[in-house]
Amino acid sequence: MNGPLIVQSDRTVLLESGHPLAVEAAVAIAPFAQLSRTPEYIHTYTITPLGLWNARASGHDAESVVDVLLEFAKYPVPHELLVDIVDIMDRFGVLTLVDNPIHGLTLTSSDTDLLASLISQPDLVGKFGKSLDAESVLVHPSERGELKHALLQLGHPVSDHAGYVDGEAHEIALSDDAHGGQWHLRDYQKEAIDHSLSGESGVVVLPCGAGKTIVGVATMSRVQTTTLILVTNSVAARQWKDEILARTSLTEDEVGEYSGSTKEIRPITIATYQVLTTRRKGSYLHLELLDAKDWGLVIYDEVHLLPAPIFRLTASLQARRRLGLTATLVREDGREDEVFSLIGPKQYEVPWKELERLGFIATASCHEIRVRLDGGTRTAYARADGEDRYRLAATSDAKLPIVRELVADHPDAQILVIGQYLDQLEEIGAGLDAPVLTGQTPESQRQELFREFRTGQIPVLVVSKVANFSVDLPAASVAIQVSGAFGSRQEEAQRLGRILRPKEDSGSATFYTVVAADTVDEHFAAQRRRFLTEQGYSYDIEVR
Amino acid sequence: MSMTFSQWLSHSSDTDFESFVRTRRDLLQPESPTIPSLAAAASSRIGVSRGIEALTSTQLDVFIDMAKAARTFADITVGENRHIDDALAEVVLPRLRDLGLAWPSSETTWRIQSEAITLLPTSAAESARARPWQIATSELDSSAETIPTALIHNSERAGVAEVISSLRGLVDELASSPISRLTSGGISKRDVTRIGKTIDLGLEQTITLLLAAKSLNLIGVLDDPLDPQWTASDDAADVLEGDRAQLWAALMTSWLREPLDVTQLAAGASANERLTVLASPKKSLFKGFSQSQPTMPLLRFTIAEILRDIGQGSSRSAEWIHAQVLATHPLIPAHDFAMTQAILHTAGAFGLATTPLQNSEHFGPSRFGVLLAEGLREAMSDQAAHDPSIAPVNFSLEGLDVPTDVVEAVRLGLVDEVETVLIQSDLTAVATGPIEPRVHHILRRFAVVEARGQGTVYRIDADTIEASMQAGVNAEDALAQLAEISAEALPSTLNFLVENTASKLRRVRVAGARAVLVVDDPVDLDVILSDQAMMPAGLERLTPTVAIGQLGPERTMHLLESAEHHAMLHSPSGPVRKRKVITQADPEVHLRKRARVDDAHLDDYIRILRSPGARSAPATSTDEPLGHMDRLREAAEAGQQVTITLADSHGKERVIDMFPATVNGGRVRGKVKTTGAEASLSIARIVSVDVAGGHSDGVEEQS
Repeated sequence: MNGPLIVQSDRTVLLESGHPLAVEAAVAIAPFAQLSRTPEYIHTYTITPLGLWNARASGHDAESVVDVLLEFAKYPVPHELLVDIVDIMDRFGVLTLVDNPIHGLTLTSSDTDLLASLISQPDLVGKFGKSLDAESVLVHPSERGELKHALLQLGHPVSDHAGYVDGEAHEIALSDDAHGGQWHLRDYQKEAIDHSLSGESGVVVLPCGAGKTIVGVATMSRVQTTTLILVTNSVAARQWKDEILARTSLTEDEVGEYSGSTKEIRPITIATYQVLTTRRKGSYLHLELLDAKDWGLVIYDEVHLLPAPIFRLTASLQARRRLGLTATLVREDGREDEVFSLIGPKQYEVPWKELERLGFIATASCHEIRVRLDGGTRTAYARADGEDRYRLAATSDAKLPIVRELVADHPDAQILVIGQYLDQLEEIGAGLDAPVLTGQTPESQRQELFREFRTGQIPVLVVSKVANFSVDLPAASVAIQVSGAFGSRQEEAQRLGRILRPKEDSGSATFYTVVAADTVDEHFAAQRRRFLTEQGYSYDIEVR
Repeated sequence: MSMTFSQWLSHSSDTDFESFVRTRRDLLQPESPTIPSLAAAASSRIGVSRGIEALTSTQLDVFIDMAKAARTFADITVGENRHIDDALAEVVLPRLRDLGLAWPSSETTWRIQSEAITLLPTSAAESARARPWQIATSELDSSAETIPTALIHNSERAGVAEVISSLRGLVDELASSPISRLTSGGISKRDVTRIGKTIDLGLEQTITLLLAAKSLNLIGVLDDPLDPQWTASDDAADVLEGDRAQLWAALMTSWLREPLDVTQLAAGASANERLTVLASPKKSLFKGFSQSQPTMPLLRFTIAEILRDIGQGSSRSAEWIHAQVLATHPLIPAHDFAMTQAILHTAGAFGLATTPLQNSEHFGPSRFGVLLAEGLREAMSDQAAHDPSIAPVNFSLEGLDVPTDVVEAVRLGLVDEVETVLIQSDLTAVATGPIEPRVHHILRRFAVVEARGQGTVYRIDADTIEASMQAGVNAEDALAQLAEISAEALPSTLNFLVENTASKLRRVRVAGARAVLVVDDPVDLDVILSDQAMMPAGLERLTPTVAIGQLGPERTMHLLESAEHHAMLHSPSGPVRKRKVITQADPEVHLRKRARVDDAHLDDYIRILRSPGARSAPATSTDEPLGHMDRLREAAEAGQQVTITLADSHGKERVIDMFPATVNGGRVRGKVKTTGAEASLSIARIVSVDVAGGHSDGVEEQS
């Protein structure tokens, strides 16, 4: 023993990133251990039951997992952990979902006692149909995802062999270099597609700027069926459409947009989450979209933002192949598990710093600039409470001079100034003589502003949270964050993601967050930093 | 007439006699080398009880059947008694004879010690109840599973490392967060569970370590009369920083000798009383057959031996192991399966046992476990040679020491401790191996432990840095100390955090007997003075940057912190009286040990006993109860009348003539000569016994 892994009894695995065998060990444990933190010296992985079951589903048995841990361990591995791993993995395969040709969706198990006890569980009432015999029971198709999730919570994974509805076939060819084009899929993109198609439906986690859209498009070309793509907003919908038309053989007539302003149902349809969750008098108006075509693939863009109602609405899509895409699978409401159960488990992930090292995303430096509140604001802040406190701090006048200084420090860069509060953004926009883009900006104006920014006509663009995600601005190399949604880690990461597209001059990107010192703004900033510091990004902090 | 025990001793073969003497060394009295004395000792309640303790379950079942038969007829014809398995009895009788529990009273009959009838479950009601040691072996999982050698080596080394780390973590936790002592002397189950969560251990393992820490004087109670608290002892740090293999050995010895049962402590009650962890129980933990040896140490020793017999590389089910325990010591009061299971799991956690990966309820020994069991067996043999009083069970607490070859084997498996940590920009500090205690103590000034194990992860944040500064460490010293133990340069985030925290604390300083607030920036004072929450402090501004309060510094500081104003208490008020931690000292028990016949003199002793003088010598003085019982038994056998002189509690004597019928349970029962009434007299009250010569039918013996 003298490997790079320190295996702890609390199921965490510490990997010494500087060890000669670190890369080999990371590859070896990737099938069953989830990467959770990647600071500079020690990366932390977690072994979870879900991760072990996914490994089992992918063909890894308990013996191989144990062998890997023992092979790469630096010290003796806690015996109880090894026993736990074997026990957990042995539970996979005990329960199986199959598509019975006569009866339909059926849960089967040779452990009749277990099956009987699960059927009688109060939490599972309503999910089962009648029992066919001691070893099998019918399952309501609409409950497929929820049942799997509930059983997972009870510690009983389900091996889902029920397969997918093929959907209506539709020819889609990539226009990559294999097909006479000028571009090619990157290795990690191919791996992501292979992983997501090899097992059951699932989620692909790739950093911002890594080409998740291309992964979605290439998956479509592999599956060759009609596809429903769910996105966060109309800008994203437009971007998806542009990407699909650029990367595939599909034509305008084959790709439709279904949003507030447009209602096109075509073989490839891009809909917003918002339109699906629009209700009038208690009814969801656009649910018919889900049944409009025999969809063979459903893609969920920015799946971490999946609105809660969507969980229920799209349960009926359980029989369809599903692909979730995101850069940041963290939710402040802790409902990541629901994403896994309703879309599928995490199938593929690449650390941010790994892609940075390979040059697929820009190198980025992160800076936190702390400014002290002036006397009057400090006194008012001391007297305020709740959300008013945060707003006072986050929108402090003391930030504007700093933003000016930072903009002046990057005279040749394309700069995004991002914030939460509209009046603050308006003030900053006026102070910088830069246009302001918010949720109130009309769609056409938004597209125009983005176009002008991309082409360099506008060097500085002040944006609200509408630009947090899905907006592709490759030229942006500096982002200045002036306020945010309290302690949202995911928002911070998404905002950094706006500037991570590789630059034409191979230059690096710079991310600033301007924070009011000694206030809740500073406290929330510490929370927001967490995801990125765990991904290996280091923040320089200074006080001005 | 059938032979009494004394008579059998006198007339037995040399082989049988010597076998009995060598088995029952505990009965030998160097001051009285006579057959009657030896017979009296063997027949006594204690003598019979200890003999029964040494029986296996098979032997005990046969002996109980004989005792049931003896309720009716003293002489038992084994081959003709339908309740006694002849074949089994054939095998068992020699052992009973060697233990002095039964003897051949004639060519065809056997007799047993009469005390056994009341010691064993021989009544109809008792016979109807299931015997705790009788397990349906057909329902047992008696399969054996193999355990690969590599897994055994991994498991034992991991176990040793983890338990040392857990022990250090437990003492560390108590040092930083002392726990209030309950009036019972212990700590609450909630606190035990909380400690367990902190060091990532289950309830029973946490209790095991707490008991060990107490026994090793690593923890004790602070001498604060208002709030006595369990915390780390003053010497704990030295012990924990010492040789780890020795620490492990001390922990094993403490565990092996621990008289308490963790399953009862975890449940909060024993058979006799409510229990709390770390409190000393007042009553025995166990009901049932009285034991001459402490129950739990004997149980652990027995399990260690069974594991050794299973053999390294193999494993058996916990149920099977438990069945072997009951077969070996059927009368041990710890006959709950849960107790055996708990011991097996603890042995596993300590690196003494392991399980196959596919079956966590099968156990086999590790190398350390085999070495330990062999060493303990050897130690018990040595003990038996030096201290015959432990016969016939041949178990002694003094033999439960971890042998040096085990300590050496453990030491070879330990990895070096790390002397530096990796401090990362996310403000975690990681020790990539067992951390040297000195380094740990430095880090604990500035960080909390986030995760423990072979590696330790610490987290530094504003609160921990502030706490260190409130304790008197300035920014420069903090950075210097952290740099000293860091393997790499300190990350800029840490430098910033320390300096920023220091500067924040310096901005408002509280000093003096009445609180004086001194600030750098008048606006800071404006903010404080305008805060409603600070009104109780009664602050009055003296200058733009100085205010004076009505309350003392500590109270003012408390108000400031509650109102979330960062402040630093300047010049704390003098040295704090160091409270003493009182560790538990076991009370000295002065045992008046009887002189015993040691190995060197045993052969001579046997020769004396076999001499004609020893056979006819009177029993020990009739002043002694042993002599009385022997005489009374013989009189009962012969149907002779005896004259008994009794003393009451005031010393007043009276004389009774009676025909004794039975002598057991510390009483003699029989018919009073004058009235013919049944009488039951306490042996302890008897001053003298004279055999009168008359028979129970009233016929006087012819002179």
